[in-house]
Amino acid sequence: MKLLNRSIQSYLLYAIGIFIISVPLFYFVIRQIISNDVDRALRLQKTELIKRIERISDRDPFAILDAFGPDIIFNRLKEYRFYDSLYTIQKISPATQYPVSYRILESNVLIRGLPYKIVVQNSLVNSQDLIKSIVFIMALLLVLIIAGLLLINQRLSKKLWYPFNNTLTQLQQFRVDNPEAIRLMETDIDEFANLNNAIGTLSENNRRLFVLQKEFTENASHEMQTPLAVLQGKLELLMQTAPISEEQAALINDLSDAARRMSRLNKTLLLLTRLDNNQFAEKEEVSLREIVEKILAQFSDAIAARQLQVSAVYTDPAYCTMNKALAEVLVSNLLGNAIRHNIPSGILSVYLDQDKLTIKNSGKPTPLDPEKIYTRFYKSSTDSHSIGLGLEIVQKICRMNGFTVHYGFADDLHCFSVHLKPGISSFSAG
Amino acid sequence: MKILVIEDEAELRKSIVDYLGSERYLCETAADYQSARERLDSFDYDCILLDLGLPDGNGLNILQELKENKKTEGVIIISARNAIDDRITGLNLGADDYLSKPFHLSELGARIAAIIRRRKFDGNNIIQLNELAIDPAAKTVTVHHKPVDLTRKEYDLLVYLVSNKNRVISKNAIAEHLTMDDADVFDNFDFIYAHIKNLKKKLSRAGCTDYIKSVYGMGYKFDI
Repeated sequence: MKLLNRSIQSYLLYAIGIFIISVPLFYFVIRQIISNDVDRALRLQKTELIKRIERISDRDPFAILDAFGPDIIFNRLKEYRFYDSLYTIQKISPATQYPVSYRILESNVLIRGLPYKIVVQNSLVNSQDLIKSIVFIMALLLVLIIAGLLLINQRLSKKLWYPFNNTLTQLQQFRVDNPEAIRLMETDIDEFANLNNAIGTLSENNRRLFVLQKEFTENASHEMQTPLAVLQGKLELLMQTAPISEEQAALINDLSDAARRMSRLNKTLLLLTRLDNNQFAEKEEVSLREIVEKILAQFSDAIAARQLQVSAVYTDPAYCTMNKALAEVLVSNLLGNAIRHNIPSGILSVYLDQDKLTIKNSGKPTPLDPEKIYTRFYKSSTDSHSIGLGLEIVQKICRMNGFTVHYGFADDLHCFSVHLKPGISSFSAG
Repeated sequence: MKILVIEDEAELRKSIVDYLGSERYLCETAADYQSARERLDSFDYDCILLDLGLPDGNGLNILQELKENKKTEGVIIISARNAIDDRITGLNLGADDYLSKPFHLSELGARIAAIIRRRKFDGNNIIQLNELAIDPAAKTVTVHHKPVDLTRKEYDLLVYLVSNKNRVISKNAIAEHLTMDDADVFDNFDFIYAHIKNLKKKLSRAGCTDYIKSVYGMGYKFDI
């Protein structure tokens, strides 16, 4: 749930609560006020009446009183007993034929020493209309206030949260290997400014650390090249010495193998750091078909040594705009893997069309773990010639060029496919 | 044949000199930019091995100066920086070849031999070793003036062995030379044995002495 909605929810609940309580409360309070008002008016009317009747003196006052209409009734009583009562009843109004509430004051009074019962009534129609109007207006106002609050909140929130959302978008796009620092928008809201500050520092530190680490790897690999060259050179010189025993020769041979593996590893690490550093900027139109054919020819010895059955189908020259050296590394790593991990007299099939390059090979009868194959130094075999960096390089090159690479296992064949136009392809990125 | 080795790493410099010295090359050395310039000002060399990362200056500047003096022929760049930019800049500035560290001394020997052949004899010299003759321009081999039909790999192998004659060449060096750095695809280097076997068979059938010797499974040697 969005933070925005959560805060609105609380406001809304509160407003509805107030609304539910306040409307009936208002109704009763106003009714009470008006009722008190009417009561006071009735009593005043009674007092005035009695005064006036006493002033009329000689004539029969009640003949005149009939003229007051149905709202005032005088009845002669036999004896006086104190009685004073106010109540409300429903009566059919003679004017409208509808039941209407009346407020009635019944009171026993003495006029010139004679007991009378006086009834004064007042229709509450007007008061009720007033109450209804007031409550209605009040309800309307409340609804307006709530709606207004919601609207303002929504609009204000969007505006208020804009710097936050902006920061979030930047963060989502942030990559530690970006050459440029993250750029967050200026905001005059303290909380967001603090957040941006913190994020800015954090990302910049990360980026710097990454650059430092990258430089370290690159420098370390470079510095390693010279001692490796010394080691390899000395070994070659050692080979020239005489006499040399068979035992010594075997030792030198093993050392030379180790030195070679170390230098391969180092070169591969260098390639990785250079991929990270984007040092392969120059691109050209390359035909993958030409590259695949070239690499297959280069590997012909290895293919022959394992007596692999090679089938290559090209339906397209498959032109791509990319760095030629990287295209060769890509194809050579994939084909190299397919050959190295193959079984004697196994299958190697290459299929290339304008959208994808698929390389299938026989090998171990169990599928590889697709989660792990692209991680550094993950090895599916104990083969000492495999360094465990090849597929990471493949993936890096693919990512740089907007390709996607997929691994599958079917019919006892390992299958790597590189989708050259993943946007158009029906495959989704794995 | 005079060679100048410009390399700041003493041990590597020594290895190169030792290896090349056993051939008929006369090696001089320079450990830094300044002494390299002094030597180049005073002497002429048939081949210059140039390390790009010198402590007191970039080797590319030396190359630049050589180019201005039109003396770039015979420069082999040896660099720890395998960066393609350096390679391209170096070759654009007129360097003949580029070797990235670490390299096999035998590979260096082969490259120097190729450069000197190209430079001294415009590539038209015939490498004559008793009855065996190799024509690098036509890429043909004759024994007793009769052509021997070799595959490209066998020819490359023979030239490589001959360029480092009388020295043991490790199997690793041969594998990397023949596969152009893709030697990793192989579990073992049996394919070298196969090529050597075929080469020896073809040469001996043509009446050539068996010069190619295996050295305890460590490598091979063209012994003459």
